[in-house]
Amino acid sequence: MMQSKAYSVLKDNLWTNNPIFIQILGICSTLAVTNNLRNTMIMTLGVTFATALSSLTLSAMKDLIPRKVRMIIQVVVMSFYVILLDILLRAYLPDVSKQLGPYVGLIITNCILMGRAEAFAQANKPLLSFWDGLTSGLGYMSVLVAIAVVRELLGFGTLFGFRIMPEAFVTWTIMIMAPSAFFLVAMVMWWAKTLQAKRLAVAKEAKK
Amino acid sequence: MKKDSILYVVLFTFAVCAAFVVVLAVANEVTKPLVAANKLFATRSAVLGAFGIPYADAVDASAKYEAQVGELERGNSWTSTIDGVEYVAIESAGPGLWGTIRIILAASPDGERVRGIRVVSQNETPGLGGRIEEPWFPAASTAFPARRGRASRSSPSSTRAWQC
Repeated sequence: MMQSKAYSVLKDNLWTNNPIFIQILGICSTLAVTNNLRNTMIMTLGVTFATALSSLTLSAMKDLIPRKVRMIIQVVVMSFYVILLDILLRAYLPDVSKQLGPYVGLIITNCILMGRAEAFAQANKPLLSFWDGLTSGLGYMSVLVAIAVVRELLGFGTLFGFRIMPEAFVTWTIMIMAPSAFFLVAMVMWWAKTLQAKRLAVAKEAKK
Repeated sequence: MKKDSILYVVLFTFAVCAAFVVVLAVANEVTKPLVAANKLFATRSAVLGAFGIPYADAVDASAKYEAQVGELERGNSWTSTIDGVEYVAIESAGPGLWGTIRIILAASPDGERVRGIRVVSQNETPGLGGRIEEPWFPAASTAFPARRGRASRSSPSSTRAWQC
């Protein structure tokens, strides 16, 4: 039972209810960091860490939290994990901390954290909430990494800073600007929703 | 005690905030020496970079800094003799789009020739303004003659100038 629920959460967060192309959450950071694959990986790992642990903590505390201050407590818990992440990055990965600048702090405002806390952690057990937070982060990561690969490759001709495209390749400046992320996110949404609609139609047809 | 009573709400909120703040304060205290060491390395590597003194790692940077760089005013300006020529470096700050940009600029003592520029700290957009820390940006500013104590470089959209 638990196993099938865990699989269903995984499938939901990665595909059928993906935070980016279905729930349209966390779009600001998608526009901001996806022109660099390294920053994208660190940002998405940070979001995954903060979402998983804040969902776990909030789910464990849910019976003690008064409804009047529910959202205040949620923000306190999320901020705690994000500031902890910031402290750890400043101490152990100073270069990464320097490059990400204000974006680490802005994880607090990422809608995925509050969305999962409200929609899932409030009504489910801690371990399953942790899994939900983790897989939501992975769903977010999968889309952002795919967009970052296209943007960094065409915008800089590199991946993780290593040159991939030939020296003669003319870089696409638009790819390092925010508008390209709009186009690419829209294309991902179009592709995913079309595919999901087709699969649904096939499944309905098979049932008949 | 009822979960919706004012006393419970106040006590619970206070206890949660206090508990998380204590953990963060401990984490901050524990990592303070590491953060201070990182900051010192960032400044020293920027000074070496501005003077054009290569280094392999943090240990090498520290050794070369001690051996080849002299501090004129504590933490604010430095001097180094390279190939028989004396250069000075100063730390300077100016407004960026999202915060203060701090740089170290090395030049000949008369301010006529820029030796090198390194960014110490900035809060610009990663991938856009944040790219001022990439090697190509400061490299474009070196070997430019300074004018009346100012070093400048132009781009199609803007001109940035630093007081030397």
